Amino acid sequence: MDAWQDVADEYLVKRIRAGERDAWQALIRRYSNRLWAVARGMRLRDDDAADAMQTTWLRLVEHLDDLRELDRVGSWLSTTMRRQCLDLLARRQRTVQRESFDEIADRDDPLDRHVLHSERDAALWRALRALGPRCGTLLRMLMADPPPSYANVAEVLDMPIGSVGPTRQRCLGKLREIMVAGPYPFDGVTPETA
Amino acid sequence: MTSEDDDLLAELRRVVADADPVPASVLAAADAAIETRHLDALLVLLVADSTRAEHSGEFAAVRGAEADGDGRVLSYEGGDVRIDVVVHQEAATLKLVGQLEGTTNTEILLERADRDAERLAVDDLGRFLVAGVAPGPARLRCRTPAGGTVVTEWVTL
Repeated sequence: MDAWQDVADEYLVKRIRAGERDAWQALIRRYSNRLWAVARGMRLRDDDAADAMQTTWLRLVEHLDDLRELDRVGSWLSTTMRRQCLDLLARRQRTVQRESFDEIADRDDPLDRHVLHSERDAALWRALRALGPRCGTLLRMLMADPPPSYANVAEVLDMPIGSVGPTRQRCLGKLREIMVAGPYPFDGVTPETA
Repeated sequence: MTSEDDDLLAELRRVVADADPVPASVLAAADAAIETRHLDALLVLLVADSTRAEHSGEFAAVRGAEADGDGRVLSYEGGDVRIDVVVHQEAATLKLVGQLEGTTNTEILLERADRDAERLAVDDLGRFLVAGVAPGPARLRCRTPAGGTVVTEWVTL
């Protein structure tokens, strides 16, 4: 059981400032999924994602006492993470220009190292990977537990808040299309449609 | 927002939790990060990084220089202290060539998130050098003329 689960961010940060390790761990539980979602959505490889995440937490520690809007720590963390990820990508592949989510090349597939329960799960995972970085990041962020606000997703993806809902719908639509098409180009073609 | 969309997202959430969870080592490292807190240190901020994804004007030239193999340039400033570091890639490790200004120290600490700090000698002109540095988060630590602690912002090398 997580005794800190329903505690507001503001209070959590104050307890962290006061030196409570439990509160720090609760903050990590609250935001790690979201930060990892940003890195993986942006297709950082394992070691880079780990470094970006560690630098983000270290940055929070060093700025703990000058952080002003304590209730926005989640937003602070995810925009810092985004910055770290963009910088790492820029160093790894000098061609990626800022904000250009759509040009990030795909990297190694974690599926190689994990086993999924069923064919459908594996197909869903492949379909998610086949989406572009913008859809990938948006969906992975929305999947994080606890889910971020649309405002936070909009900040990370650099899009208007009003576009998050429609983009979510469009990305899930694209994912369904990929699922129907199947892993091989002709799998989705039935005798009737051929 | 349709309920089919919600169902699909829920299914994806389960798949991602299986296929690509946050590694335990990453969570452990995050937990340990709080131990780097310095209540009384002067934080010197990164004011320039030649490899930042966002750059303009002045940086464009630095970035061009790096393309010629001159390394990544990091500049930190805070109080009267300024630290410039050039990071050179040498196969799998890095070489750091630094310049300390605004305070005299005979050594400077290279702090890492996942390993012991390394003591680097600083010469009379404020210069320091270290090779064989592993990539990953790092910061520098030294002392102000008055004897206080100076730490740079964390940067991913």
